[in-house]
Amino acid sequence: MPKLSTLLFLMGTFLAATNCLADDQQVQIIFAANMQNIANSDQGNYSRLSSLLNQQRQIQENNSIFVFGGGSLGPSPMAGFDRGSHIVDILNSLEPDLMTVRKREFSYYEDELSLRSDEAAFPLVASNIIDPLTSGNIEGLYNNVIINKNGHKVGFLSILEEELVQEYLLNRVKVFESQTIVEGQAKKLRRQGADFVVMVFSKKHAFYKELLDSGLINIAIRARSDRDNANLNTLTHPNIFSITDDDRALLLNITWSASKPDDPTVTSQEVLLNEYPEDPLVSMQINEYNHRLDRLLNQTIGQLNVPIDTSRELVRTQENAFANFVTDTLREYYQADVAFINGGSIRGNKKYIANTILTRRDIATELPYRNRVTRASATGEQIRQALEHGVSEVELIRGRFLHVSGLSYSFSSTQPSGNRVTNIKINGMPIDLNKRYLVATDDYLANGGDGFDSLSNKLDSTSSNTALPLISDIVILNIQKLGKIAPLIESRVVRLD
Amino acid sequence: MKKPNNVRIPLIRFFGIALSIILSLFLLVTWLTFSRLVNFETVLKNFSEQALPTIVLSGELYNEASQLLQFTDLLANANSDAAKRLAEQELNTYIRKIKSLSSKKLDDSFLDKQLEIINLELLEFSDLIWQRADINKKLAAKRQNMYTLFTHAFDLIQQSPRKPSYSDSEESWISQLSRLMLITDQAINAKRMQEVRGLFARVKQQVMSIQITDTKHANTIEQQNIIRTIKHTIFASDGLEHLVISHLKLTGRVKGRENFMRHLIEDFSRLLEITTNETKTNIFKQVALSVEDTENQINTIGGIILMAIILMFIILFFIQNRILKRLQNVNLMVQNKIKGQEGRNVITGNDEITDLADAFNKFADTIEIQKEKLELMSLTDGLTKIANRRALDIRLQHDIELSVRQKFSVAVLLIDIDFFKLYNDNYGHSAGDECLKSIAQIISNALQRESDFVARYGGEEFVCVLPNTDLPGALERVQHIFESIQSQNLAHEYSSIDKRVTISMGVAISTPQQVLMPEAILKQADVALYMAKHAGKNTYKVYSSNM
Repeated sequence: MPKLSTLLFLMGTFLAATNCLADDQQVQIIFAANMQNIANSDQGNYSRLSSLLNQQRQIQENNSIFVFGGGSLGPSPMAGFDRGSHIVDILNSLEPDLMTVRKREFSYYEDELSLRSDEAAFPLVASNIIDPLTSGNIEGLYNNVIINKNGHKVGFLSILEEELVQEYLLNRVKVFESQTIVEGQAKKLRRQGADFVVMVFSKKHAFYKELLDSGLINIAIRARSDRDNANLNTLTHPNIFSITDDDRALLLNITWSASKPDDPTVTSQEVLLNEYPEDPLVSMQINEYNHRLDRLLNQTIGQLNVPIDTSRELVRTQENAFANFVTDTLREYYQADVAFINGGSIRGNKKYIANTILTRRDIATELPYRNRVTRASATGEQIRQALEHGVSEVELIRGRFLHVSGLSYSFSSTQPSGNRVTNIKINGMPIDLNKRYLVATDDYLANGGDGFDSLSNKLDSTSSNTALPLISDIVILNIQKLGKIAPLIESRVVRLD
Repeated sequence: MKKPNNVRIPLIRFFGIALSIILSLFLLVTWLTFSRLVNFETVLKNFSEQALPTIVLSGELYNEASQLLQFTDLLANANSDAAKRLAEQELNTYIRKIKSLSSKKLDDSFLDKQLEIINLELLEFSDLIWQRADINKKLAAKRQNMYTLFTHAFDLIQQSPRKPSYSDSEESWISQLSRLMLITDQAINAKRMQEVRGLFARVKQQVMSIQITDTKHANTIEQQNIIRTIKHTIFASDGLEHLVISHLKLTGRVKGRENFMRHLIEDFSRLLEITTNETKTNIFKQVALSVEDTENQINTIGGIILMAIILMFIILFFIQNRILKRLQNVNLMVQNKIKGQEGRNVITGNDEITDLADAFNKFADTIEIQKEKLELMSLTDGLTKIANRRALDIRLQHDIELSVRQKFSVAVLLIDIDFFKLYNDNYGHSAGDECLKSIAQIISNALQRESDFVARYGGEEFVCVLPNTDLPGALERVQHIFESIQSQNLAHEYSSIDKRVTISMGVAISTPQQVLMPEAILKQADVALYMAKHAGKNTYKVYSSNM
């Protein structure tokens, strides 16, 4: 009936108008990342993040996209047990639209990450990696994701840096960081209908600016990584956004104005998570995990009689008392000539006062990676090369800095890389470059982790039946045996500048 | 003889020392052996009471732990209630087994704690699985419910064979319902949380739009009701949307928890293996050390035993020398003494044996003295068994005194065997003795009267005392004696006067007119004998004052 159809048409228009007209269209991106230790109150708190999300989702009438930036599946004491499942479980409660995979997600290697993607009720995105087993992405991961919100298709990319393979000792995955690849992925998104492309990255490339200027990528979000400490990696561009500290979240409001529907504007706001209340449900979840972890790790193992500091910058640039204890334990285990461990293995980032009672949890926090003891045979020359590699990028505060036992050396960062180490002494005697020494270390370094090629002459075959203990295992056993420990800094590593 | 400078070592002390040494050696060896045995016993005991059971227990626990993994898997994958119950049963059995094993205490509080925790975790995991099953059931029921409702909703419009097609409103109802069902289905099957939320938001929109159309098209009460019911089924607090979201979360959580359990049990197994290996290594080291120790001790003990044996031999040698030999010497000495041989063996040393020897010598000397004394006291000549000189003196004295009282003469005959020395030298002393005995017997037999007396006066001299005998009577006796000896024919090759033993005799008479004292009469007889010897032997001479 014409009357009815007219009414319908009017109603339809009215509805359309109320929906599409009004003023501008908005989509909000909520971005948070690097929250790997749920027991660490210095980091952002998932519970408070949940409150933030609830609030914003309500305000934005569900036009917000929660992007979890990653960098959280490890390492942490709990992750040592469940390889990050608990983070996925907590994130499930926060219902992200997607998570961008960063380096730390690979803390327990490729297959565990696949398992996590199975447990996640949201997609995990990594745009520039290939797994030779699948000739595509790692099983369960997505190359990109498009989220439909408010009539717009927002596409997301996650670009990983090549150093990932070496630093995390990945045997399968290959990372491609060239401009061609990044461009290709962005174009794919456009072809799939994305009208707004977001790229999450860590390592700077000059061509990003180009891509942003050309509009192929609308905005880029920098997920903080280890490289940030040196502040040599900042890339400034109006469309590059980042969070300045771990306890914050980023709110990006994308507005398509009615007048300029093809040229959206983005405003950003950084919020302090501590300003939000805790979400009781998520808090309960977190507490349960913490409680279970306590149950597992609360056993006291000994007493620390002196203050020690395992701050990130310290363990990666200078001799450290805790690291000395670890290397001494390692050396004693194999009755070796020298022992090595890299600063990047020590993750506690914590200051301990004298007479602290140490628990398993403390050690699990300091040594959360599941690296096993290994012994290798190395010539003096190979040891020298390893030491050089360890201080080759000390100004960038890299995890490759070597802590030693049974040997001492000096280095100067003003010298060129590859020529910084002097005065190497093994057991008080100058090093003999031609002599073979027995080296105790972990399988990470012995397998070439962090670029250490020279310690690869392993003495135990990997197929041997006896289980080799983890570094954390022997450290715990040693502290238990000694009861009280008082490790010191002893001029094993002398910095000359 | 005692050497005066010898230090005195009494036999008691000597034996004492020797026995002490032997005893000490024996005790030392015994103690060493015993202590080694005790030590080894301790090691073995420790091994069998602690280390071995620990290793065995660890092995059992390791086995059980790997079984646990299997059952955890089973539980996680159990899809039906029955499978779940079965898996749970198996799991509980295994947990009980492990608990009983671990109650034997691995003596490692961490590993024991770990078992407890694994137990707790398994219980919680089992709980989670029940929760998931529960949600699954409810979700399935709700879906079923939902489809029933939709079917019912579709049935509300029945196409009657008489109507060629649906009316506008009917078509609108069907298409809207279809769209609703489609979106709802999508929402149910979506795997991503936000996607689910988005889809359910569209479902809500669709429902609302249907409800608006309801009023527009004046749909029936039934139609309105069914839409309301559908809405309620989806959006109530225990509705489809909630169930789908919960299901997604729970599925993820269960998967995560299963991985966690697996890793926990694997870690436990690994730590168990490491601890066991350490214990094994320790035990082996201990045993090896003990074996080495024991070997060394055996060598030491062997050495000491060897030394002890050598020492014992030395001691025996000493005993042999110092005691047995010297005793032998003493024995020899005594035997010699008994045989009458002279010659004193020198007994070396300064102890009870020398005391014995000395004592014996003293006794021997005493006996000698006694013997001499005895001999002195006796009146019989030991060899010839006739009277001896002492007896002679007494008798002569007596007879002279009697002759004074009774005024008679006493004749004294002094007899000497001729060439007796030559006899002795050539025939030997034993023959000489026999000759003396024979002569003594002959002379004794030749005297007939009771009162006549013969005695041995010296080596080869005899004296006869004939009381109450004057010269003629005496000479008669003398003649008789000579004839008896002659007739005896004792051979004497070396006599230069006769090939028989002869005698020379001197006679002296003591008359009442001229009484002679014993010494005097013997003196006279001696002179007469001398004369007889000078007269050529084998004769007699009577004393006269011009001799």
